[in-house]
Amino acid sequence: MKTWASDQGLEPQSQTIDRDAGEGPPRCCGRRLVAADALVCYDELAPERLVAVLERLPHLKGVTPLYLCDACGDLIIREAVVTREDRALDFGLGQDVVDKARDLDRKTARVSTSPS
Amino acid sequence: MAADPSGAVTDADVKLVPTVGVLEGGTIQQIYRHREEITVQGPDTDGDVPVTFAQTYQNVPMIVFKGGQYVSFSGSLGNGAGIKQRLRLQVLDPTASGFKSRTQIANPGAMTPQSDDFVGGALNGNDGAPGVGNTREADLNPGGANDDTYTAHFTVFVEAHSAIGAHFATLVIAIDTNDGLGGPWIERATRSYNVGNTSPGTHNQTWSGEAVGVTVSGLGLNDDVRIRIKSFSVSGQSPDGNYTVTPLSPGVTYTTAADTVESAIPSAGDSVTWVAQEVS
Repeated sequence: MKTWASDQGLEPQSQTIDRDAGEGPPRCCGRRLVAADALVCYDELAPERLVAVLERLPHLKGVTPLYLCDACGDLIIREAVVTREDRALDFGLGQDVVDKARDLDRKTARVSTSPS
Repeated sequence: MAADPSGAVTDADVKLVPTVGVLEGGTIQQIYRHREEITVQGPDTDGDVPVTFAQTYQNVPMIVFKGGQYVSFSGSLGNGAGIKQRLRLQVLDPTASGFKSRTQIANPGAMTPQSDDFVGGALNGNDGAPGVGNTREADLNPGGANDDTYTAHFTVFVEAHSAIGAHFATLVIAIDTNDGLGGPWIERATRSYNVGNTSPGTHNQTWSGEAVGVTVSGLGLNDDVRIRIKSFSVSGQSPDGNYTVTPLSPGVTYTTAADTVESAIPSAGDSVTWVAQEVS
């Protein structure tokens, strides 16, 4: 997967991006400090899946390039907006990764939450 | 309230220090930011239920078990004299945006302790060269913990100094995992370490034998756990500071076994409640 760290050639790749200071790509959420190698580029996602991602995260419509932090990337997987397998296929990853991704794909939830 | 030259908000004996916390006497209390209560309802066939927080936290929040109604014994898992069933109430796959609620009954097989060390020595930094983003990684071999829990072991030293007044230092460490699905690292836990005082001098503290457990599914052979320096900051009046994070040996511990597992929330009316809370 392409990350902000790999795309920018950063060293160390895990350096902290301070998004309040304007560092990194257009931000995906309110988190301030994110590791550069945890910011994944989703521009290569298939168009129909990109539409689904933007329906779930509508505040990201028009954001380009589209990088998601580890928390947002996990959100769309956790909620089955995109499966790990589809993401791996769209990103052109190897068959071993696709196979493992398929194994890790799980089910959806019945949950209620309430801030207190 | 007034603000002193260091930026601290003062009121009698209590001081609110931005980025550090509440200083009362010689004790720094971290600041409560946000919390929410989450109820996961049955029925669920395997007890692993994804949860998305109402808002994304800055760091992976603390998630604690509050209570609920759930199954605590299953005859189908065996009821012989030597069988001891375990309840697994676990925060699985935590991130800043959510987690999976795990509520299961397990009949573990014989457990084998496993450990893998972090490669490289201590991580050091100071206010001039903070070393943010530096890491130490452990490759899992064999991985595949039977309860999906991996505990990172390390020791932390943080020091702050000022010759003229207030001095504070804050180190935030993240524990990340990588499941081998192409490269992205995921932050699974953070810990914040603070030292300092409003009077001139040097203050430091050592947190020996820190053991931070993360419960993450799907980690296998050659997948990774890492310690990452997420941030380091000093504040006060002409302050300086430094830190050392020393991975211990063993670095990451876990157990492997062949378990039999059932959902502990198999029916409507079963539920489990968690509280997520972030401090800083």
